[in-house]
Amino acid sequence: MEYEFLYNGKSCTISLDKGDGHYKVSLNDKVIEVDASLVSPGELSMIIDGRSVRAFGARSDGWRVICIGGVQWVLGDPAAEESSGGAGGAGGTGDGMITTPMPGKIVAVHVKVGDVVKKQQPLIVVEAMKMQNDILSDVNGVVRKIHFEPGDQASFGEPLIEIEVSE
Amino acid sequence: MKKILIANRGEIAVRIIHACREMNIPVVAVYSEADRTALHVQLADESVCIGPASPGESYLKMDAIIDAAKATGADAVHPGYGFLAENAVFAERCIDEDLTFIGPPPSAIREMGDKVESRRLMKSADIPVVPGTTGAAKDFKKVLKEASSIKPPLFVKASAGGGGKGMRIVESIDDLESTLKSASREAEAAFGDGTVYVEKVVENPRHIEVQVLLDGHGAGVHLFERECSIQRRHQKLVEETPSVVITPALRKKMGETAVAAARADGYQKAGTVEFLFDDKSEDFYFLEMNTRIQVEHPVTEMTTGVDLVKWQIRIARGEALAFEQKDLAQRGHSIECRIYAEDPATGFMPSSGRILYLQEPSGPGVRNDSGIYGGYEVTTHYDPILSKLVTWDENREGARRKMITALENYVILGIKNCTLYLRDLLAHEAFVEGKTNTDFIPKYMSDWSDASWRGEHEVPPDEVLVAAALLESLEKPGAAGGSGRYEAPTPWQTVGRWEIGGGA
Repeated sequence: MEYEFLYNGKSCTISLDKGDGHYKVSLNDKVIEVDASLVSPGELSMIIDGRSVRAFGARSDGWRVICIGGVQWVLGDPAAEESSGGAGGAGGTGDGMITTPMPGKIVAVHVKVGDVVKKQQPLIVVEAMKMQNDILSDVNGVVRKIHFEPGDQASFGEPLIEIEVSE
Repeated sequence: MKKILIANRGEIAVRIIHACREMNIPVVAVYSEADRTALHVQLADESVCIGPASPGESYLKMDAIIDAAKATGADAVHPGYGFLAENAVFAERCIDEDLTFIGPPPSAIREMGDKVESRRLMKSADIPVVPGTTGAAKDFKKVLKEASSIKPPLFVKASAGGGGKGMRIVESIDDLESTLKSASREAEAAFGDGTVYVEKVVENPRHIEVQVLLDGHGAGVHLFERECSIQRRHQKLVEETPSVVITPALRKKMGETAVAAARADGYQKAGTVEFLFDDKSEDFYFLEMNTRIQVEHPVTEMTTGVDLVKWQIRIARGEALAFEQKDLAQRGHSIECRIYAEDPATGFMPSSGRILYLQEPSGPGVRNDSGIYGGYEVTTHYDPILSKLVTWDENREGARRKMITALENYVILGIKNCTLYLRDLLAHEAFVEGKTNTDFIPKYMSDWSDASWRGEHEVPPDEVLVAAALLESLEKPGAAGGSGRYEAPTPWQTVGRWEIGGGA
């Protein structure tokens, strides 16, 4: 079984073969034998070459976080990236009000008031869980109001940009 | 005392609930609309919604809190810290409504709340304050004469000041007169009041505070010091006791001074007297008194064995202290780390969202005062403190190592937090050596990043990817297989089959 994850935009591919209580894991031309057990939801016990490794994991929309030894790694889901042009994707409902699909920090604003924008045009970049997400316009129109500046923190569902929709 | 209402939220509300439970006193929680699922609401005996998320419409709304107490038959109010804890008007309102306010008398809160007044009060009680000119004056000659006896550097501060306006540092007495004039002009322009005063600069001080407990029968004790010098923009991050710079003689002197300061204020119950400590001269100066339970109270509890919250309640019930100063001793060493929902990698930006997974550390000598749980939604409406991780061991090095281990075992997934930053802070040579002055963070931690934890590679270590793939496979409903793609957005929906203790 093949799995693909994104880390900082880079693709990492890994394949799993289930054997007799063990897994054969192939990545980067290496094959690793792992004795793995899901001991409770989100909590994985692995024994790799006799070494005990405890991993914790959780997932949300478009990303997964893995924690080993107290260090967290956020991995993106390529499927979510493809479908929305970013883990966040377009945060609009077609009425010209673009809202945050996730809480995060505004790292860039690509447009200014008065700009004519097209559908699927990147408007703003929100950083959440270490991933930069392009927020795309879901309408054609003119930017009327921008609610945030780079550096601002936006919570879930807050209005980011108001666009006057043109036909 | 039949029933206590807790006018607070978060970890401190939970802490107070624990004390009430153990004392067999029923508890009423109050909560804002944003806190319906908060832990303190779930743990209390009764819960009353007091308004919308905004603190001004809920946790700071005196009428709503007093109404909640009346409606539930509570006869006492514990204010915790923050919100209304140091509001003399609220304390008075409680008393007027026949509610016991579990805090000091309103007059004591009021006197300590006014910095100029508290400085004057302390001076009259022979408590050392930062040397400076008495009372603000416009007469430069008088100020100059008074200030000439203080060793520079000096602060020139505007009486009506704030935000650094009108504040200057003077390195030499020769420059004082011209600085007084320019600072006064700036203050006049900024505040319409050109009054300035002079205060000695204590360079790179330590922030050392003393815990006191005073009952209503005239007895009072101190419970030794806490060092809280490690601060980021006046927000404390790490606290410990005992302080590495306080000798037994100094400890005794500071403790006695703190009790005297509290007595001068007519203080009762638990309080904290804050001092600035000068490493070079070993002088200490009264800074302010906090008339509430402090965030960092657990380190004192761990080293003295005294439950401060229970004693607040007992004293409020009219009980006398069951111990004298000679009965109290410090044992071992305790460190507290504040776990904030902030991202140290992005300048401590507050982080909000759902806690997708939580595993709290435990073990001998590990205490976690927490207000969160797995599945809890962290909002940005309130203080970002999630919990306070506290360790105790026989000595400082033991407590330090225990803290690093506990931080490593503290797993909070879904929101950003500062555990990695704290591990680096505690592992820093300067912390090991006890160089924990107030300039610690700017001096040693300003260029911190998590890069050292990430390694040189552009991709995560193998075992991280292996774990990710295995979790994908094993958490998928039905089988170890599937498409390798995400099928449902939350872990709770996708956990279908899992095994306890067995192989796959």
